[in-house]
Amino acid sequence: MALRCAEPEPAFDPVPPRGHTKALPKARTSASARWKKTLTKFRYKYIPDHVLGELLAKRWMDNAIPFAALVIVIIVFGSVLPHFFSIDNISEMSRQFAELGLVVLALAIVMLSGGIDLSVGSVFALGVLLSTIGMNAMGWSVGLTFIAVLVLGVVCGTINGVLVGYLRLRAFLTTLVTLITFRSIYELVYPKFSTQIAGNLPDSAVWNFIGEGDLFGVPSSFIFTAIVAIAFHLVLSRMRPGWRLMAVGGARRSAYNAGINVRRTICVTYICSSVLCCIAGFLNAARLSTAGSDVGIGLEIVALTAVVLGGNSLGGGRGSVAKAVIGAVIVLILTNGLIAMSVPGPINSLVLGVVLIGAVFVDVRWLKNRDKILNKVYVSPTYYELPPAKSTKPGSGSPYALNDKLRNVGAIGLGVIEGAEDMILDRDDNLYCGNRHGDIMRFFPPDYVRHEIFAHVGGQPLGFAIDRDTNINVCIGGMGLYMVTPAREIIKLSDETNRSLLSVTDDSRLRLADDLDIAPDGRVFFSEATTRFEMHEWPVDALESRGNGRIICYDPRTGKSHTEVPNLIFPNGICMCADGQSFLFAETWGCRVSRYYYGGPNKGKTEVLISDAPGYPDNINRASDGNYWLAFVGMRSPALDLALTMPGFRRRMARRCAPDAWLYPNLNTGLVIKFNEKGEVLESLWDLGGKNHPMITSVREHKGVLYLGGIYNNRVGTYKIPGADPNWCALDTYWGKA
Amino acid sequence: MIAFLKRPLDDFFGRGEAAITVPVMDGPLKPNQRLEEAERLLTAQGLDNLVSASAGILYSSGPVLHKLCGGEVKRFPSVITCLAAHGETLAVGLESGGVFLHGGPRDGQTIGETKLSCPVAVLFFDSDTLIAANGSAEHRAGEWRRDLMSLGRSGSLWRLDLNRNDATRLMDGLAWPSGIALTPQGSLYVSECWRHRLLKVRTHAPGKPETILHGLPAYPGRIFPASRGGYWLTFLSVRNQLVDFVLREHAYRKRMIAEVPERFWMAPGLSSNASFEEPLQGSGLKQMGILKPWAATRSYGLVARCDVALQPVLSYHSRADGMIHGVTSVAEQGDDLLVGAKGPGVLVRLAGVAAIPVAGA
Repeated sequence: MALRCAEPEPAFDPVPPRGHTKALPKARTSASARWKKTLTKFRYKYIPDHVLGELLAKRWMDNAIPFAALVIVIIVFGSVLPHFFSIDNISEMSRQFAELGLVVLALAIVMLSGGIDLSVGSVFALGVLLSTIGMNAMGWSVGLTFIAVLVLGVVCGTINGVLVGYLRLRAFLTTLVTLITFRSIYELVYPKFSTQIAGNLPDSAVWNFIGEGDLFGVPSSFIFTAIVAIAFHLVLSRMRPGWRLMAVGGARRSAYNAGINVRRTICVTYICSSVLCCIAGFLNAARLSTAGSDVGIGLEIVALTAVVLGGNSLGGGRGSVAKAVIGAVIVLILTNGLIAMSVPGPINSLVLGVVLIGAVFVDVRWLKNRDKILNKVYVSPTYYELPPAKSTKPGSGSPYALNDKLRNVGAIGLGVIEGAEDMILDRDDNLYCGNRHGDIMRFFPPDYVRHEIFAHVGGQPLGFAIDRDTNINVCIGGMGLYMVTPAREIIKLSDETNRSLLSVTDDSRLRLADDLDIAPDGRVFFSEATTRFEMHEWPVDALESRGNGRIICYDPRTGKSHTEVPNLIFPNGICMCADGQSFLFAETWGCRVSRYYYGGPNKGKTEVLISDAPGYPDNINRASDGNYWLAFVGMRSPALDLALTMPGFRRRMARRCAPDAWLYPNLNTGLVIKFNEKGEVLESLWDLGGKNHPMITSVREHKGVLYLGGIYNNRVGTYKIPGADPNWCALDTYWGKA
Repeated sequence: MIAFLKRPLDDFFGRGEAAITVPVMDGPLKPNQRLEEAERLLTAQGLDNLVSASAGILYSSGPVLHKLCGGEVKRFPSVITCLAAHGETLAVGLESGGVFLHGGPRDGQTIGETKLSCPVAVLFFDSDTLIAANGSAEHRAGEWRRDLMSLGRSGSLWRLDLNRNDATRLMDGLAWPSGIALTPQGSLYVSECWRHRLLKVRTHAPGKPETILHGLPAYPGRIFPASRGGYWLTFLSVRNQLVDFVLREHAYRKRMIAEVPERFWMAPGLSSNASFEEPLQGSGLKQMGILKPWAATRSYGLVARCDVALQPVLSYHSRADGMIHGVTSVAEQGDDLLVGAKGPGVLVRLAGVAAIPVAGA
C-alpha cells in the first residue's frame, strides 16, 4: 500500500497543554496577558534576533570558534602559570612560534589544496641537520647554508609533489612513506656528523642574529615568519595562484574544467610545504645550534592539530593563513603550558590527540550544519501590532466599503506583459511599463496594441518617474536607480548609499529599490523596500515586519546618495506633494501612509496621514483634482494580524514549515483609493473576486484614464474616471506645460 | 523520564513529534482534475447527504430534504447532518441532536436526543438497529472546525435500538468519527477525521479498534459501500502543513479561536478564497492571474474508491485552483457516481466510474 509511509509517521495527535481549557478565564487574562504583551514587545525591541543570521552569513564566522578557543587558552594558562605574560616567556614562545608557524603554514597550504603532507616533521629534521652540518661541520657561510637548505626543500618537495601531483598517488600514503624515508636518511646521516655538530660552534654574527637577535625587542625569526605569513596571506586571498589553489582544493574537477593546471598546482603546494619546513629547520638550528636525535619526531601531529584547530577544513578549499596562525598559537601555548606545569610527555601527547579529535569533530559538524542553521535562523520576525483596520463592509459608511467599480476595466497588453509593477505615460501618451524579463516596454496610442521593447535593463523595473528633461527614471529590483534617456541610453544613477553605522552586514548596496519621485530641484527620492531579502522573495519580509527598509535621496548635482529616512516597514510608494518641500510615502507592511518633509521649516519631520488602512498600501501618484491615488497590493487578514503580535509563532513557522505553506499577507485582492493631504480617504475602487487584477501595485492617472499595474499580473488595466479632466497630464503638474 | 525531557526538547528543535510532516498525495491518491472536470448537475445551498432510497436519490440542503429532480420532500426543524435509508424508512440526524425516523412503520420516532448531541454519520445495522457516530461531546455538527481547532477528542460511537428506543455507547474518545460503514463480516469501518486514520471496530468488542490505514494526507469523511465492490471514501479537506503547525501552537490556536472570526481561521474549510480576509499561504499567491493547482490550500475535493479492506485504489480530485471542494456524500446512479460537494453546494456526475469493478468484490 503506497499510502503507508516506510517509516511510521510521527503520530499526529497534538497533546493539549496542561491546564487546557476550552476558554481562558477572562479575569486572569487581562492583567497577565497585558504584562506578557509588554514583555514580548520589550524583548523584540531590544534583542535583535536578525543579527544572528547576519553574523552567520559572514565569512569570518569560520574564525570565530578557533579565535574563541585561543582567547580561552590564553586566559586559562595566563592565570595558571605565573610567568606567562613575562617578556622572557613571550620572547621564547615567539621564537618557537616562528618555527612551528612555518611548519603549520606548510601543512595548511597542502591541506587547502585538498591534500596532506605527513612528511613535514622529517623534512624539518633534514633541514635542521643540513643547517648544522653546513654551519658546524663544513663551515659554510650562512648564505650558502640557507641556499643549500632551500635546495633541499625543493628536492624533498618535488619528490612528494611529483608522486602525488603528477603520478596521482594517494597523498596520505605517499607522504607517510616519504616521512619514513626522509627520517631514515636523517638517521643514517646524523651519526656521521653528530660529534662534529656538537663539537664546533659556528662563529657568525648573522647566524647568532637569526637564532637569538631581535629588532626593537621583537625576535628576528618571528619577524621573518610574520613576513612569510603575510606574503602567503596575500597570495592566497588576493592573487591568482592562491585562488587557483583554493579552487583545486574546493572542487578539483571544476577547477580542471575551468582550465586550471591541477597537477602542477598540487605539485607546487608540496614544494612550498617542504621549502617552508626546511626554513623552519634552519631557524631551529640557528636557535639551538645543534641537532638532537629526536628532532622533528611527532611534529606532523602537532602541526596537523594546529591546522585543524585553526578551522582549516580537512577536505580542502576552506581555510586561511590567519586560521593556521591561530591554530599554531593555540597548540604552542597548550604544549608549552603543559610542559611548564610539569605534565609528563606522554600525557602531553594524549592531550594533543584529544584536542585534534575534538577539532576534527567541530570541523565536520560546523561545515555540515552552518548553512542549515543559517537557513533556519535568517527569517527573524519581530513584534508588530497593527491598529484596528477600517471596515470594508458594504453599507458601513466606511470609505473603504466594498463596491464593484473596477469590474469592467479594460486591459492593455493582455498576455504580453508579465509583471508590470508600475507604468508611466509621457506627454505623447506613450505608455511605458516594466516586465519580469528585465525590459521596459513601450505601448503606442491610441489603442495601445502596438508595442516594442524600449530598453532592456536587465532587472525587473519597478517604480517609474519622468524628469524635467523627459528622461525616464526607474527603480530596478536588485540593481538600483537607473535612467533611460529618450535615445534609449541606459545610465546608472545610484546603486549604493551610505552604510549605516551599526549594521553587521554591509547594507550600502541597494537590494530592492522600489519606487521613486523627483523633487522640483531634481533630487530623486526613492524607497528601498527591504535590505534583508532579494527581489523574488519580497513577501517574506512581511513575516518579519521589522523596519528593514529605507528612503534614499539621490542628488544629481553630486552624483551621490544618502539614506534620508531609515528603519521603515517596507517603504513603497513615494509621491511629491505640491508644496515642493515634502513627499508622501507608503509603508506596505506597516499599513500606513506618511508625509515626510525634506525641506522647509518642518525639515526632517514625519507625520502619519493614514494608519488604519484595511490593506497593504503600495504606489502613490497624483490625481487630477489635487488629491492622490493609492494602490493597495493586498488586504489584511485577521489570522496574519494576530500572528504579527506573536513573533515566536512566526519564527517557528519559518523554521518548521515549507515556505510554500507560510502564512502570507493576502496579496490576491487589490484596491485603489483616493485620499487628500489631510489623510482623508475620499473614494475606493474595488475589483471583487480579483478576476482581472488580483493585486494592484500601482495606479496612475493620465488624461481622464486610470492605469492599473500589478507585479504578478499579466496586463495593465484601464479605468475611465467619471468626470476627470480629459487633458490632465501628471507631468505638467511637475514640470509645467510643455 | 526520557520522554519527559524529550517532549520539550522536541518542541524546541521541531523534531520528533513536533516535526510537521504532512504525507504527500501519491499512489492511488495521485492528484487529477476528474472531479473538477465532471458535469455539474445542480446547485443547492449546503448540499449534503446524498442517499439512494427506495423513492430515488435524496439529498439535503440545510433543514430541507429534497428528491433529486423531484422537489422538496420534507422540512425538518434544524439542519440535517446525516441520513441513512432502509426500505421505506429514513434515519435523519439533526443539528439540534438526535436521530429522527421518517417514513416506514416507525415514522415520527426520535431517538437519542440527549445522548447524540452531534450526529455526523448514521447507518442501519439491521431494520431495528442503527449505528450512529457522535462527532463531539462539546460541539454541534456544524461546529466541526471549532472541534478540530480545539483538539476535540470527544467523539463516540452509539448503537441505537429502535424497539427499546435506547442508545448504548460502543466506544468514545474518538477524534470526530466522521464516517461509518459495515464490513462484509459485520464489523464497522470508522473514519477518525482529526487523526487522519481509518479504524475497524468489532461491534461485540468495540474497545479494541484496529487501525487499518493511518497517516492519510487528507481528513477522511463518510464511507459508502460501492455496488461493484469496495467502498467510496469522501474527504472533507486535505491536510495542510500550516494547519498541522497551528494545532501544535497552543497559544496562537487559542487566541485565534477567541479573537478571529471562524470564517477567517487558519483551519481547513469546505470551500475557500471567498473573502480576502481569509488567510493566504505562500504558494497561494496568484502569478500572472493564475492560482497554481498545487498551491497549499485549506479546502479540496477528493473522493477515493477503496477495496473491501478500505484501501484506496482510485481517486477523483478537485485541486487548489478548483471549486468542487468539501465533498461530503456520494450516491451511485447506474454506472455513474453523483458527488455532492458541500463547500460550493454543487452536485456533479462522474460518468461511468461506478461501473469499474474493484478486486475483492
